[in-house]
Amino acid sequence: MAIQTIAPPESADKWEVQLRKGCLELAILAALWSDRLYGLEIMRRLAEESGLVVPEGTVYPLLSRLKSEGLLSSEWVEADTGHPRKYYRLTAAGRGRLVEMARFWQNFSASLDDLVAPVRKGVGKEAR
Amino acid sequence: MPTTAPSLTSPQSVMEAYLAELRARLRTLPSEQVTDIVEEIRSHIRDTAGAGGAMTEERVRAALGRLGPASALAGSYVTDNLLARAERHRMPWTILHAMFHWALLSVKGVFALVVCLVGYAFGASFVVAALVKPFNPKAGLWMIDGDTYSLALGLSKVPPQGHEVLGAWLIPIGIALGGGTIVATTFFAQWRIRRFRESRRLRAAA
Repeated sequence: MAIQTIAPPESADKWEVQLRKGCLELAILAALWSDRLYGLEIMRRLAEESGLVVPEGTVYPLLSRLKSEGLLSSEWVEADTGHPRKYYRLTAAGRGRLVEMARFWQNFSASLDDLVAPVRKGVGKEAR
Repeated sequence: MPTTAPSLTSPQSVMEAYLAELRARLRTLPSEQVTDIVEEIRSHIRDTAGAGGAMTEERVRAALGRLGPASALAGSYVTDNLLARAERHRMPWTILHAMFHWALLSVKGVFALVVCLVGYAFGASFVVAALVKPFNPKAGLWMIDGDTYSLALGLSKVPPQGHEVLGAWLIPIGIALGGGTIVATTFFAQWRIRRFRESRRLRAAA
């Protein structure tokens, strides 16, 4: 039904927001897995690869916290554009933490998938 | 760097005004860190407002709008930084400092601050009394009028209707009770701070 797809109920909407927020730390660390990136690049990568659009004003303080927790390190690099950029990379501790988080995430999402599978099938049948 | 000279109403002056406010509101952080943050935000504004052309005032304002008010941006840095430090360090001063900032943000923070102030004051007075006891026998826990306890350092006159309860036991008991209260208060504070930071972390990306 078209009506149902226009706007999800408010509670579902809030739940989605909470879920995205909870995953933000993992997403940022994962974006840095193979490259060093500066803040704006991290946001772009999150938006392009996972559709995770994050307010700019929240990413920088979060990066600062991850750095103070020893999970990230940063360095200033002079760029062609004429102004330097602050690049972040994972530290050894950050790499270890990310591996743990990714493992947990995979187990968690796999078991939820199993749980949700019958619901999806059921919805498919009802629609027909 | 773009070669346009900044004039009074240039895009640069709009950006600088924002950065100046940010810097001012970050002043409680170490100055090295403040410079690092301000330069990072400057770099971000140049990237978002100057991509593929010169910065215009309109584009700078749009970029600043997406970053949010300087006060809010600074607030997330400052509070998070203070609470992170308080979570790692056990010095009552660091904890109270962070708690004070937290109390400005929420009622729960005020409650936690009051509990900590009372806890530290209670603990410290017992420790101080225990330390004073060897030098001043009048220091001690006095029972006045048979129903009121009063902890005294023996600096004023001895209460006429009272007698001292603990004697030399004040030293071990005072140190154990006072020290224990201080440690317990610290644990309480760190527990509350941890809980608050966890909830804040979830809200931070809203």
